[in-house]
Amino acid sequence: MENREIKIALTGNPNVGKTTLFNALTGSKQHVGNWPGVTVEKKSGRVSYNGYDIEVIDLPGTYSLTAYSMDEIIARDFIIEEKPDIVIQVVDASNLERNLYLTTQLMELGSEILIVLNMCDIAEERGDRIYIDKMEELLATPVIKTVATRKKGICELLDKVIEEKEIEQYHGHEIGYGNEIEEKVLEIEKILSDDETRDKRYPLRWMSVRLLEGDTNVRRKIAGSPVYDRVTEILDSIDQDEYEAEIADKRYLAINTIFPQMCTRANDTLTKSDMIDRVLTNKYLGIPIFLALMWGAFELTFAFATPFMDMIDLSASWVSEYVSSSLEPSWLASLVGDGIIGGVGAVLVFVPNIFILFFLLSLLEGSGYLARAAFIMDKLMYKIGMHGKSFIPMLMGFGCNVPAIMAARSIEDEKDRLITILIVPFVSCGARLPIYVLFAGTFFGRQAGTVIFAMYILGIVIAVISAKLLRATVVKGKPAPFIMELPPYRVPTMKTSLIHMWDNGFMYIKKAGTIILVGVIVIWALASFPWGVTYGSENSYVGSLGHAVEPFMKPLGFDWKISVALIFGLVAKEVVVASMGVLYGAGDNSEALSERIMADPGITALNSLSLMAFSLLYMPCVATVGVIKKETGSWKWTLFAIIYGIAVAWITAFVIYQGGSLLGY
Amino acid sequence: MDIESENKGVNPDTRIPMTFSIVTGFLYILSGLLQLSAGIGKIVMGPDTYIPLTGPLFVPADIIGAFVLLLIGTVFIYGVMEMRSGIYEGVSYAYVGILIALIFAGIYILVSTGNMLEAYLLKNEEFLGWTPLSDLRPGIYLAILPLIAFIKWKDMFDPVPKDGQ
Ligand SMILES: Nc1nc2c(ncn2[C@@H]2O[C@H](COP(=O)(O)OP(=O)(O)OP(=O)(O)O)[C@@H](O)[C@H]2O)c(=O)[nH]1
Ligand SMILES: [Mg+2]
Repeated sequence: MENREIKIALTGNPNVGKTTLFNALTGSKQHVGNWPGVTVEKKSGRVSYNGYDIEVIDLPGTYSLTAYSMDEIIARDFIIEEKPDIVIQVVDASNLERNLYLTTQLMELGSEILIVLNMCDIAEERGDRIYIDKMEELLATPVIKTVATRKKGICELLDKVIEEKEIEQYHGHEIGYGNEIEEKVLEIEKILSDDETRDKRYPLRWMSVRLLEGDTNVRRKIAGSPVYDRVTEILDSIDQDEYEAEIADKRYLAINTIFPQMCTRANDTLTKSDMIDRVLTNKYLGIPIFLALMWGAFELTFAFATPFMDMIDLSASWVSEYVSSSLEPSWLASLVGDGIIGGVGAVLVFVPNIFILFFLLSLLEGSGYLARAAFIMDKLMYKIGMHGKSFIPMLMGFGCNVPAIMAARSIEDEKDRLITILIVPFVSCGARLPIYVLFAGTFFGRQAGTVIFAMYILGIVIAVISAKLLRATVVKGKPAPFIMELPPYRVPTMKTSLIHMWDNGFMYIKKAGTIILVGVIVIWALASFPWGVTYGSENSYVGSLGHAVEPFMKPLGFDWKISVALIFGLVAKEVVVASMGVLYGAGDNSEALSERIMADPGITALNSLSLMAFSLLYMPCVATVGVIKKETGSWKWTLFAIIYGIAVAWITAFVIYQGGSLLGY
Repeated sequence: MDIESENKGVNPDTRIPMTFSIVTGFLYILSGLLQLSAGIGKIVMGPDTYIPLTGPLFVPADIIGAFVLLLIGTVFIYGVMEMRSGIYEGVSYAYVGILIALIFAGIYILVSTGNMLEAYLLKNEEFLGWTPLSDLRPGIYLAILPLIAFIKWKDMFDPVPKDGQ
């Protein structure tokens, strides 16, 4: 028997657990985090259940169907234009009242709705009581209770979806807006229906209400219609602000009448979340605590990982030695020993750091502190011409710049968004961490954790200064005011944190086995040819390449080997470390890479600082450039990002190196 | 429900968290100052400088660590000031102070575990002569107070009624 198809979409306010539910339904591993605006793209997945093939679509969160930001528009357009069989509104049971606003709007859309009451565990723990039967009756939609994090209520939900699909009858409640408005709604509805060419997917009543509310997006949609002039005539004759307020009032009124009938809330007490917030968002203590916690995180990333790194390093040297002595012919031994093990091994050594970094990042994202960090910084950020929300993509950039740049979609104002996209590449991602650990570990011993922390701060400081600079020059204007809902603190579950760590750590290992492996082989070949030169000497191809760019790099304190590593690092920043591994591989393999670097008189502590800063700031990797192009849709800005990055990197490294030399280091 | 609404406005007694915060806060601030002077002394007057008490109290010359201690102490004292002026919410500072103190003690213990692996398992020369006492510092042993408070006073810091269905 052929499976029957059902298409369902998950919608709802931000941070209510849509993606968690999506993952529970489909077994996917989409990004979940405890702050509003995690999902910025629609994602689809499938589940087979009781002879049905159900396609599930996860949408970005939205407070209302009056979409302002890019991710909200994606969510709204999907529901209207793709017409899923059932629209599932995921509702935060612990915050029911606020979630109902979207419900009132969804009902107007005329789609088949089903309400999922998620986070029931929190509501129950707090002592709220929600009367499901009453809720179903008042809203005229089925309601299912779930706890998405514990996969509770998933089967009931799927059963209900199938049941609803089978009944296939539309029942909906509509809100009346009072005589005056209703009259106008009818009038516009009538005019719109005269247009035979109109987009039939949009319900007339919904369109009329939206137009009266002053929705520019909808207005643009009917701009080409023959009835457009007649509609604008009506719209111009009314006071739109007043209508908008009146319509919203009516919706709140409806909510206020039905809400008390379906829910009794426990008395508000001082919750732990409130207590923590009182301190962490304190005017004076907030920023110092934030910095202290960050410092602690990087101290841990470096110091706790060291023994594990040493273990990997030891085994890599052992394998490399074994290979060099047992493989024939000697060029093959060199390829495997110097090239592959030297290069890829150099990258793999840092797997422990990467794992710790991603574990800590998932704590940051899961606990709800990320949103607070944005909140604490908002005042400061606003003064320098940045949007408070920009801080979220920036902190996400600690993991990888690519999703961080996409996260900027939740910023409503186009200019704010553009600035955020342009400055995120300065935030130090996981791929740069190996460079710091290698050099700081080699030259700064026990202070390494602090030096690494300083690099991360440098990245943020440069990003912030750049924002100010961009505001004053190419992207003029004021940042939009910042409103963000602070999610409650949650203790992140060990399981989610471990999964997050493993997924990202594994991606790093996979990268080492693919793109970095290829890079390493290319560098090895360039270091071994033309035929007959000493491996990795100045006469090889890499030598010539390095010498060609050396004049440009000399003022920064970089010799030709470092220059080559930086050039190849354009592909991915891990390659910087891999190339160092390849180029310093010649000779006695039993020593760790750091010892071989230490032995090179061409690299001192000062060179290494300049190198770390340059690697942090110079052109983002290829993947980031790609996503900048995609998100800005402009080659001009992409090119700008590249050139600006290189210029900033060069100047910063120059100041560090020359300044340090002057001071006598 | 009714009983609860009657209780509203009558805030719980804050004497215990206040006493606790004063003691812990001052201990953290004192050792923070000691650690700060050890750190600065080393930079200004050379590596052989000895600041009294730093030896027996296991105070390292670590400036950033000193700021962390001072910060934790300040959080506790800030709470005392709020509680003293009758703001019940001041206990929040005691609670968060406890959490941060425990987080940093945890970080130090993990770092020390890493050093132990270096010393005993990998036999790294740099860690020759390392003993668990080498890494002991106020950030670790002072955290015993917050730890006790965290375990004993859990219910006190948790005003949510425990009658959830
Ligand atoms: N206690 C509890 N936490 C939940 C539940 N469902 C989700 N969460 C947590 O809520 C947070 C938000 O979850 P997401 O799935 O990212 O929310 P979302 O609706 O997709 O958010 P956006 O994509 O930003 O709109 C995460 O920290 C989840 O772990 C639940 O049923 N109970
Ligand atoms: Mg999501």
